[in-house]
Amino acid sequence: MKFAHLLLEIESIIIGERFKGGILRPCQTTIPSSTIDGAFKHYLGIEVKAVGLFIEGTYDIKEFTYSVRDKALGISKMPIFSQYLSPYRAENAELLGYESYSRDKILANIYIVPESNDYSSIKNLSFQMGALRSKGFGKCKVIEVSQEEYKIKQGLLNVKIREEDYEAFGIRVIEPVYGYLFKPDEHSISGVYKRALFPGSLVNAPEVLIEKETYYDE
Amino acid sequence: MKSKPYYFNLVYKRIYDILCNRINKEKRMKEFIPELHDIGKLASDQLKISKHTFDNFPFEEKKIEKPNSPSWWGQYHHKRKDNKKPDDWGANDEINKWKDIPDDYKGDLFILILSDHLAASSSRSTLEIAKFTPNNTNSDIQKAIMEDLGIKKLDGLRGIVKLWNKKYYQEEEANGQYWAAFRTEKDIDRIFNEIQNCNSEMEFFRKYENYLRLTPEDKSLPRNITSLYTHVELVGKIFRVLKKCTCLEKCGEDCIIKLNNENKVKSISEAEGGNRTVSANQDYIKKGKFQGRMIKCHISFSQTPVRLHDLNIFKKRSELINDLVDRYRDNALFHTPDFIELFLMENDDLHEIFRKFTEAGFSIRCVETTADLGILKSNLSEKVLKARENQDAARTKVLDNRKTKVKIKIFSSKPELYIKTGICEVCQQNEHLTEPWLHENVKEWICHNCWSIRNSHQPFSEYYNQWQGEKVCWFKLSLDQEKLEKWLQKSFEEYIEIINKSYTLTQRDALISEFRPLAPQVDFNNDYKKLLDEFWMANEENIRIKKPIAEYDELGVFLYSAELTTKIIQIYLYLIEKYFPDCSHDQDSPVSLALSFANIKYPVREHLRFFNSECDNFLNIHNQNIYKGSYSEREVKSIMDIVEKVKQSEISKSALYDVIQSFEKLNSEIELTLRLKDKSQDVYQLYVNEGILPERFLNLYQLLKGGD
Repeated sequence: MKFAHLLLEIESIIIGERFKGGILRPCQTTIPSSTIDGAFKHYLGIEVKAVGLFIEGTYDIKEFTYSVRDKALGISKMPIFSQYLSPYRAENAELLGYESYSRDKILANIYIVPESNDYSSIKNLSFQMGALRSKGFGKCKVIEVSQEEYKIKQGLLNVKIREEDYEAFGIRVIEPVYGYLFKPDEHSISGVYKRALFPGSLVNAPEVLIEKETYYDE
Repeated sequence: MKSKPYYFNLVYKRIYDILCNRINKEKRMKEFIPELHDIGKLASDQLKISKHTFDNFPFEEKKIEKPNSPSWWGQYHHKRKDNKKPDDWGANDEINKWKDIPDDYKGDLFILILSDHLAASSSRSTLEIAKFTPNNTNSDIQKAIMEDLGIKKLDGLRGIVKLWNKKYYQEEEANGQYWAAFRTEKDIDRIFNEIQNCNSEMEFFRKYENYLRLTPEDKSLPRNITSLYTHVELVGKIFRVLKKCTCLEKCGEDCIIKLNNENKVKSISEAEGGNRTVSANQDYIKKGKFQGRMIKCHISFSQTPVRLHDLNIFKKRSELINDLVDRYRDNALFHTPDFIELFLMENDDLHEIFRKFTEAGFSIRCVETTADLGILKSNLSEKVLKARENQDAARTKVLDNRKTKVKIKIFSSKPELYIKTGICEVCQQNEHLTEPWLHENVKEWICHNCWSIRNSHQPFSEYYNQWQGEKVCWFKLSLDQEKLEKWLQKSFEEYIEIINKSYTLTQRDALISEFRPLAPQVDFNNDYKKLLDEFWMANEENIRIKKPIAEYDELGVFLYSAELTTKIIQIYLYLIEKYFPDCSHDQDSPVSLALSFANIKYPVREHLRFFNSECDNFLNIHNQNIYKGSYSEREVKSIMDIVEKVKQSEISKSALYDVIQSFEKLNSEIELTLRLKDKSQDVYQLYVNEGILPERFLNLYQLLKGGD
């Protein structure tokens, strides 16, 4: 299976779980397809099918406190703690193949289909992705663009991907774990939550989209 | 008109019939109790019983009445074995050759034998027993072995050896307990009385539980690591599962056993198939006609508890597990608060079994192994997957020919294709209700499931009223089943090494690779339950330590004080030493304690996230915005010793901060050592002897010592 592959450098980023009413916004450690296609639509005006993964060992979870301002009433609401990913390298982190990259940036892989488009022009493109961009979060830079072929293997899925998109990624579902991802409407005013495959689903998929190869019967 | 004697005769006849019917009914009513089959294992050596069954017992010579209850025929479960080949279960196993056994009981005996094999083979290796080697009679070696195993006489090892508490039996014996329930000639009558009159397995367990727990299922080395209690309990469960789907049918003079009205067999080996997955001997690997399913089920939920009320999810899970174990008492081999191991037959429907869970929003991840009964061990799934990964063609061919399957099955409610209005903020699996849940002007949009869980129980009031503004500590005791399986395997290898010092184990490697953890796992879980019970009993009178969910023993919370923190850790250390002294107490430890300190406003879900994802050592600490770290038992004890030692004085924290900061800056161990030696001898010793960095010391020290 062939994908266009982008390697991103990220300063700090928040990809929040849906707001849970309380005072804490937890954050995710995968890049759902909804987040990437939102960013691409905003910055490049194109719709893509993409999924992403932060590279383990390049980030740590920290907390950011802020207070939402109600402009109409001129008051600040209750403070909210938001988790964010911050660049970090563990003492003995083994980042095979990534040693040469900046140690003060989070690294992430993005896989896009169809691979036939030429993405080479977006090398060095800077854009923002995720939440609280006005506070400086989510600054990304594309540092590598390539096309790569991946073998299909059985394993546990490690990304979140909308159900309507997974076939395009060569994913075949054996046992699904479902969740929802938000899909904004054309005008980005509202949208719907679409059923999606979540990490932990047993699938046949390109090797980069699974945790490790497994050998279960179907 | 009839004469009076005629009526009298009729009445007498009627009374006679009623009495006969009642006697026959009582006879018929008596159930076959499979748990009694190994009662002979509770007889001491003084009784000189050949093997552990009574099928050859000289009743006439001893002038003892032979029992005739259905359970009596369980004593013949080894009768058809060829004594020259003790591990060859295939010998003389055809049901129609069992001339001693009445046809009425052949079916039960047949199923008992299958159950006994399955329970034993899913619990431990069925390979050789140890043989004494005269070369290794060196007294020093023997002394060392005895020390390791905690025994007085090497050849007199009769009680159970728990891998995690090897001196358990010796200590029990010192307290006046003894493995054998039947010790003298006079007790023989009691054995036969039990076989004849015992009414149920519950009655048997009630009477003999202590003995069954002290007696190993097999007293020979190295098989003596599982309790007879767990073995007979497993046999009973498997028996009743098999009995539901099998029946005995007569074909002329012959008997046959049918499974699900389809597969017909006449012999044990025909039903089980061979008991090996690789062998040159085709008999050992031939396909069996009866297959079973062992299923490891992990129960999780997608709810992330936002409020204290949401912890009711643990209560709900506990209720559902208890309900399942009630409904499927025999299928559930053992369970913990988030895990169930099931034994099912081909037609049992897992969807139906977990229907109530999925309706309540839980998700169940199952690893299901389907195999011939002859090879269905508790660790077969790992073996199959390993063989496939290593491309072990010989083994995978046999496994495939025998239709062995290992599957992952995930059960949860299938969500709608899309949600238009809004998603539940707690579980993110369902559409939220039209009305929000309101609290202090905060609106929360949650679904029907999460609403009913939130409103099912009121959390303890102190948390909101008296503890406001305070620092609290949430804590969780955990038992990791995967770590436990790995640890049991490793520990069994060490046990084999100990035995190998004085015994010749010609199949040492095979023994190690053939180890199956199920029964020791059940025993370990029982001890863990005892630890939890004792933990809460020790804290019963302390009103500042709370169990938020009464049905869930692993989770607790207290109003932070250094004294309480120390107490909780001390009780944990004491109980670990009592129940699991020989278990790993470091990163390999299956049992762990995690403490998470924060202001009461800090979200409960974050404490739980820490417990679920970042606890991988014996003791794990999270102090919000200050520190996250973990410690082995040895490290905890060393730090607590220092805290105790300097109780009256004070270690200069600012001096230690300086040292820590300079170490972070310079990253020089020599500099660290020199500065530490200068600032604090105790912390210096801790670093030099135990390798505990001052930062790790200081963070735990602060929590145990209190103050700013």
